[in-house]
Amino acid sequence: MKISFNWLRELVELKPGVTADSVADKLTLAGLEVESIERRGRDLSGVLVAEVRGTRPHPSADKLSIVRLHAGGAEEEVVCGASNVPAAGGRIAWAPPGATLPGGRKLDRREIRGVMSPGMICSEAELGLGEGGDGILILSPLDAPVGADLARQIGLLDEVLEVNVTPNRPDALSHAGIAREVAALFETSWRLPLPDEVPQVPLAQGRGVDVEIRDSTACTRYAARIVTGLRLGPSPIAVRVRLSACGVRAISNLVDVTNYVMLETGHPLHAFDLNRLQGGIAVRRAGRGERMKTLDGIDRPLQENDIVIADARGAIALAGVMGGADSEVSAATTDVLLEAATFDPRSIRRTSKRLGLRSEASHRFERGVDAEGIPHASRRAAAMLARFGEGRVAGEGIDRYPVQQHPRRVVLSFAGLSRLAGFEIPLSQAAEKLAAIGIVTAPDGDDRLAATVPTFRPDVGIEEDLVEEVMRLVGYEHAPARLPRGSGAPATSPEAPADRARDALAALGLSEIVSWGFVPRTWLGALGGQLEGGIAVKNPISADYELMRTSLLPGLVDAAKRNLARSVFDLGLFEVGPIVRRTDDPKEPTAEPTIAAALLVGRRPGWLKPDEAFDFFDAQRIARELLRALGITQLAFAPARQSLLLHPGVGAEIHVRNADAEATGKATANATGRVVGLVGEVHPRLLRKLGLEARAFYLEVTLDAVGGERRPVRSVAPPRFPVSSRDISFWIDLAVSADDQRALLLSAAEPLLRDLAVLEDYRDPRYAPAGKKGMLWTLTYRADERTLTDAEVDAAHARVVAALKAAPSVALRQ
Amino acid sequence: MSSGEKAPIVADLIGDLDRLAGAFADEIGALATEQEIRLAQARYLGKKGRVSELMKALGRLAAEDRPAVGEAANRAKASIEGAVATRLGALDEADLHADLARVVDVTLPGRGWPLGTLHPLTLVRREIEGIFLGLGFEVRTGPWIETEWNNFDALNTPPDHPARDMQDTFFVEGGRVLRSHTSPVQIRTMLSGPPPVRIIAPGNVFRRDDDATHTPMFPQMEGLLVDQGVSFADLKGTLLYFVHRFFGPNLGVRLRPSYFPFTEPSAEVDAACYLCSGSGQSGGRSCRLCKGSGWIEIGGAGMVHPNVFRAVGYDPRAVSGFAFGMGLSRMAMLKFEVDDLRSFYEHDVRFLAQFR
Ligand SMILES: [Zn+2]
Repeated sequence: MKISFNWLRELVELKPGVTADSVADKLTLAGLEVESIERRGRDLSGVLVAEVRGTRPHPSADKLSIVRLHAGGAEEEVVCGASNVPAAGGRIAWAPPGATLPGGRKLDRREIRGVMSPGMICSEAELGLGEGGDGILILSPLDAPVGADLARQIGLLDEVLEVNVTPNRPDALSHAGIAREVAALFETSWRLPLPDEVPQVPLAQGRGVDVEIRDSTACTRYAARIVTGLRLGPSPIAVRVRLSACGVRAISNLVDVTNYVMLETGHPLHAFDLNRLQGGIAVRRAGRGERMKTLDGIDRPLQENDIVIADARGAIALAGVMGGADSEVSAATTDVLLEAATFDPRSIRRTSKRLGLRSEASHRFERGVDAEGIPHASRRAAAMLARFGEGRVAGEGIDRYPVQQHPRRVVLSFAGLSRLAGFEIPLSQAAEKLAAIGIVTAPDGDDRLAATVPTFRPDVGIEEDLVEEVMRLVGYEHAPARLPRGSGAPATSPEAPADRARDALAALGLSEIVSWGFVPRTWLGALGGQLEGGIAVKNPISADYELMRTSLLPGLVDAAKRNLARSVFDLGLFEVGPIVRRTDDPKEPTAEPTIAAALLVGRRPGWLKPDEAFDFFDAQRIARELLRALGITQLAFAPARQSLLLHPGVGAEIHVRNADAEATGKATANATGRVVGLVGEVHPRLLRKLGLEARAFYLEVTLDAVGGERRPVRSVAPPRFPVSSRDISFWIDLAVSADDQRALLLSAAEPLLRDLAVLEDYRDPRYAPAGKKGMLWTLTYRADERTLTDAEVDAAHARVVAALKAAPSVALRQ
Repeated sequence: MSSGEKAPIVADLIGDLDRLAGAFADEIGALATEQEIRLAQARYLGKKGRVSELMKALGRLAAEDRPAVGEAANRAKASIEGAVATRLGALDEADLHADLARVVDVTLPGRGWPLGTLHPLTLVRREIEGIFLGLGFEVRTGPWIETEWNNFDALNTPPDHPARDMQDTFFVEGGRVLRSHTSPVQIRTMLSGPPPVRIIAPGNVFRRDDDATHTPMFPQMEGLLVDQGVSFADLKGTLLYFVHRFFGPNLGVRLRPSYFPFTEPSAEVDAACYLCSGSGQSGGRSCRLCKGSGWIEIGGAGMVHPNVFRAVGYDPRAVSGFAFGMGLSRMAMLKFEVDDLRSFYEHDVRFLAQFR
């Protein structure tokens, strides 16, 4: 909320030296954060209130005139282009030579179409007063004496505090509320301006309007006052200046008064054109199927929760939210009914939110308007309107208040205060602080205070609330700082596996990215078959954030695309985080497994072999090392020919072999086990759909499937006896995988064979027989308890070779 | 040789042996490999070598002549072996010399994969986790998709409460929400067991904001401590400890009254600006980081509201507690002097490569 410092000074007794900055600092430290201070009219100087003496045409320009004026001194003749120059006796704002306008423009004596003009006559816009409209500013005699410094006179020099009022403090949404706080903080007094003394007339016969509250949950208090004989026109300039400072546009004296009183007291007001009302008015909930045309001209269907003000014909206003077209005031309005009321905050919130109509008024009603303040606001607004519009307040007005609001009684104990604060604040000091913001207390036994919380503080309802009030007024800075006693039990972080994966992938040379949890629909569509699994965000900001991601692949591809667009072509990226999947369990309809995924694009790092592109085995190595870091060494890769994500010939599912193999660490030929991930070249069709114009290799591991804790290392002493190795080279059908060959070699169950590894997979069609590939393996033999002789190794190797030869497609090479 | 040959003359034999040693020295002087030298050595000293051939005559010598000839033979042998060792030594020296002539351009880059990088948001999360782990806090996490009850109601924010506007929330099917803060993890933790509780909850949260200073998803870290006799002073001490560890040892912390539905009293947390040490001035002008205020906002905090305790079945008369929360992207921006929040999510490896 914007608080004018000029206005505030009028309400609070502040010592002359107190600046807007010092007020802002204190408010901020008391919980009413001042986000900024706008200095208005800072450059403005030297503009005077002048009186017009006469006007004559400019000799050589039709649209200009020459205005004769004075500002208490000698008469001057000023050239003016406006068409609304008042007759002799009218007052205007004159910027003489030497004056400065907002923005720093300096005035001078200047020739205009052959006539010397000392300075200029100013419009509202030129004075920094918002749009202002056409023509020059015309001042009324009420506004300013001739010769006065205009900026000072009408409050153009001001500092506006932007106060961030938290939703629990409806009392602070007004200059009066802020004045109460400031007075407490500066230990001084404040006052609420009294209603003006204005002529009052009895209500003419038949002009009374009855008010009935039909639903007291919807409205706890409704006051109506009638003002008649109004002349609508602009408000006094000082009022317009204040509204402008608070960010409210001046419209007419009628509308301006409702806004001004709201900014002063926090009470929203609404004016109905009395002559357009039919019969009495009722405050009620909207009926089923009821409609109403709001003053923006839109015919709106209403809901039963909505609160309406209705007359004999039906709804004439959406209470607290927007007036109706049928009862709206217009330029022809002379008599009005002024409404000051409270409405159910929840209903106002739902209605204004549903219709997208949030206003200064609805903002206050949602947070709670003080019913006890209504008579004052009603009287203040009526009197001010009568004065500005030269009308009369007619009758005493009506005040319906079916459910009396009472101050709340809350007890504050010394023990409760000390326990929460962590230090001792004497109850006498607490009582003083509370009294300063209107919370009266009385001793209740030796170490308790019984507080009476006024209705304008709906947020204070329990002891803890009083503790906060006392602490913030004492100052949080007085609380000591100490570390909590005791300590927690050490526990493993649920993030540990994810962090281990991050460390491994970074150590493997990849860069971590973080992408959004929600993705465009097209991304999931491209993955094929995953749209149904995607959980939709019902109110996305844009199509970019429509569905919760079901895979990390599209996000990584998008990251690669962005880098390619910046001419970075060689990439190793990874992300670790949850994906969201639908489950069959109605109690937990979604699951969020954590995935570690990586994408390789372009060339391997390094300079010795330039242009060597990434291939499947780079990704496979990373998958292997990642799983090793997660405690899994017994892996198998099974071709994933049906995958929608991976190239049919260059992709694999990653299986973890069964637990026994994992526990014993023994190589087995059995490749079955659970699937924990995928690795391979991204399907070229998918890349086309996602728009990445480069080959890419992808891997992902579901961390939840890998299991929790990494088991501790069980070390074994290195072998004491040397190994011997023998190589074996053979042709074999292309279809027989390395894993199959390994199984053949292991089928000999040779106990001395300790290790075997592929050295070469050779497929040059110029030398390899059709349909065959040349394989070179190296086999390692060793005994635990002695050094093997050559003869023993040869014999063992012969047994392994014999087992291999049993396979029909094998032809040994020499 | 046949046994019929006449006995050799001793002096000739000794002369032959001495000449042999000289001839060997000449021969290997031209040889360049160890193998050639060893072959030459065998031609002289092997079983059928030239020295052995000459020595066959030894048997036919008079007994008194044998010692002199034997001595000459040993002399020749030693001379030949000495020549071999010398020649091999010279060759090895030459090899070594040649090897030492190799030069690499040490300024070329090393081979293989450089280390990768962790995301700055990961780095800052871990650093903060480490600080609180040291205070005995444990890490807890929770799902992105939450019930409204966990995200709002249990946190003293009933439906239609204006505080719900403080966090513009994303909704998904089944009346559930994308959590707008990690506070539901506090609720889950308290529901899972009795006090004391001492946790931190890192994780991504979601709000309907998307502009230069807000992203629709951002990482948060919250802390919760519930025990007997926990006070505002404990909260202040904990935050001060955090600021000292994270920003610098001599910086202060400032708590400003504020409002959150789930805490009472509530506070905004400011740390003294580490750039200007809280003075607001840096190099004679207003500090660019704290805009001259001397303080930087780091998060929100407060004493747990009794209604939150009631929602999870804790007795607000028996225990008290504090909670705090901070945005990790803000922490990372401060820590790494990142100007643009968006850089964390643009995946530019030239940006990310700095965080090694
Ligand atoms: Zn600073």
